[in-house]
Amino acid sequence: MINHVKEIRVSLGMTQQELGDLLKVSRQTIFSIETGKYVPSTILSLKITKIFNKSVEEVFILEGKD
Amino acid sequence: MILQTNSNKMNTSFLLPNRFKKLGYLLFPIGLIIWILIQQGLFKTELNHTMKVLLLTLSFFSFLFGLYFISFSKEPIEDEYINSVRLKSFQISSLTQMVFFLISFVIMFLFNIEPNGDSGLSIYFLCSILLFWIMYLVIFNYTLITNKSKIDD
Repeated sequence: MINHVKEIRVSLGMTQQELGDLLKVSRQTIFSIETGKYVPSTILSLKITKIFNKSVEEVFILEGKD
Repeated sequence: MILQTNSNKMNTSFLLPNRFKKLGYLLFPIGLIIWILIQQGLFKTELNHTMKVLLLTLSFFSFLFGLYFISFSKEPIEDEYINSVRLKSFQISSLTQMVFFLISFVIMFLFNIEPNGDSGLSIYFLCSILLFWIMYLVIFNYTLITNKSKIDD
């Protein structure tokens, strides 16, 4: 699964720390999600999309192998 | 849709508060150093048998509790990513321990080597248990440290 968390976060002028604070997760978690090292849970994904005010499909995209 | 603010809290009830980690980093090396020094006979002349046994027991339990506190203390922010790193570290550690058992049994079988009596067997099993926990700590901390060093905003 690929995601556009970094692009959307940067476009909103947020830092990884600020997003992490809003989601109550560490900056490491945000970094791992953005680099594709970690796929967030459904709850965290929904929280991210709610903060970004986007739909899930706009932020997270399934790849062929998923 | 209303999302609960605490809905992504992980089930970490078996983990100790973060402050135990500092205590662990204190107890672990002190216990290990004193235990090794006594085992090497450094205090042979100064200590009587009872005192030596007492110190050996105390230092060994200090080492074990230190290891336990380091392994089972929460990170400052204990979230789902940290939990996934914990799981990965446990999986690799258990695999390493299994490989250790297999290789050691093959070596014992091929070269007809057996642990020297009950104490040898105890040390062998102790080493295999410690291997698991030390591997867990190394993999867990290595993953977090390398990840932290790569962060750029």
